[in-house]
Amino acid sequence: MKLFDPHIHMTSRTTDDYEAMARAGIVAVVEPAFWLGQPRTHPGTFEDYFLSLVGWERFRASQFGIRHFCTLALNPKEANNPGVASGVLELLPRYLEKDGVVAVGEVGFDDMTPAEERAFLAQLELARRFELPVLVHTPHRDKRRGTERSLALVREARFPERLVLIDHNTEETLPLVLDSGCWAAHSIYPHTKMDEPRMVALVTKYGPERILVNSAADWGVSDPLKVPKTAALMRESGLDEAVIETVFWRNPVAFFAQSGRLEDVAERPRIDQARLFEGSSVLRGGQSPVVER
Amino acid sequence: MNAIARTLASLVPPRVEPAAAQWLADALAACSRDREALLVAVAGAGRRLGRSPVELTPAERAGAREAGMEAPPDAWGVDECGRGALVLAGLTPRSPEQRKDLVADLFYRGEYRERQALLRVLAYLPEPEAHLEVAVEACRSSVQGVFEAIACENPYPARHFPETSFNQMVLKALFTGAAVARIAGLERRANADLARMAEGYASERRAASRPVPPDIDRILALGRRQA
Repeated sequence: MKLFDPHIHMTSRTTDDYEAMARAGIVAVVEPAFWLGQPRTHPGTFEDYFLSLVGWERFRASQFGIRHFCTLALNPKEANNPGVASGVLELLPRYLEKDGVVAVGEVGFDDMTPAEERAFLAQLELARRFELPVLVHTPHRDKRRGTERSLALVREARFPERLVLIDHNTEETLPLVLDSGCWAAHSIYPHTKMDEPRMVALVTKYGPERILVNSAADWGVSDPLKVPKTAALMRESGLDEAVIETVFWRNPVAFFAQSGRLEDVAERPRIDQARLFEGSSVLRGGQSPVVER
Repeated sequence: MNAIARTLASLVPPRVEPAAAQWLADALAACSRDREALLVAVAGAGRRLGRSPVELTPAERAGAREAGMEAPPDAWGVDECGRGALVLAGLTPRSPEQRKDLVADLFYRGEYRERQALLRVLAYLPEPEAHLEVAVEACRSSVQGVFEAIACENPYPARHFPETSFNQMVLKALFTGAAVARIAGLERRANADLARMAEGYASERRAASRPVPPDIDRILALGRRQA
């Protein structure tokens, strides 16, 4: 079965991770633009980050047989930094138009400030203009309230709910999201957010419709194989293959295909490590490239 | 619009849906006045026009030469024809300063097919020598498509590169397996120093018991003739 990790920050991961993910059946990933662990000090660093998401990281993934797509946005945390917020919003139109961009995101709330709300609304308008779906981050603190406010904001902006994916859900927020027309994603983490057995219970209870699972793996303690591990536990727990395929392949494809830009997703890129990118190969001296004909 | 922009633009409609052809016509009309319209159109052209190879008819090939292209755009994708037309139409009427600024912007802020299209039309902009820095920078790319867009079937390097940059480009073609026969103006620009560099590369390959690319002989022969 083909697997899709619809939220993973590959710029923070190694080539070993790419190899392990491909071996475990992952053929496509979506990498949302987010914060890098420490605040950035000027919009220019966002620009180079966006360029790496549509360029180098996309190429790096293809070298391991994985299709890489991304979502671009001013993230909620840094929406609070007036030194970067407006500059990044000005950059976005040009980058949202580029190949490989399948949604606006991560937008949403972190501290639930007026600045976060302004950035959220401005980016819903950008999504409308560029006909893109939206990936919405929900906060760690006061999650239920943050989720309710996100759903309310989407409704007030009259943004189509079928184009919205609410991320990082828990037992308490999933029913709220399913009651709206939005899609619901779950981040399976080693210690926080959601774990594999709880995810199996949620799919058993609510079924697979509009439900997605991701690893949200990044530079912190996280696991890029949480998608295949959760799929395996669902199988062991006796869930139907069709249910598993809906959660791990059909739903992420259906959601992001609404961008009209999820090109060639069903087909793994042909590995050609002899290709180089921007002066750098992913190989180091002495390794022989893998080339599939 | 200049003749080459018109020619490149004319290759698109027969190969795309009517809506995509209209999209390009609208973008071409707006791009010389509106900077953001140009940048957004160049970014989106890949998805809107598709990336299949153009596969020119004999008449189209002749038309391209007639319009002033040194090599017809046989190796280009439909997106690159559209992007090339947008760059020429959007930049030609502007001031030299604006043009230089936009060339750098389109290169450094473009993903790699955007860069390829820009490089392929660089020689056909007014005062093309102003963009030497970007053209030489493109040779440092190891995305083979980007490197070949400047090095192969492109009149720019032979017309404008200083000898050291031209020689580095030819050596890189040998390294990366781009056939040197695809380098426009190679015979005219071959020089003794290039032959020396090629010989050095051949000897390094022999010392490592690796095969020597057959193209090296051609460089050596051309270089000796110049010396």
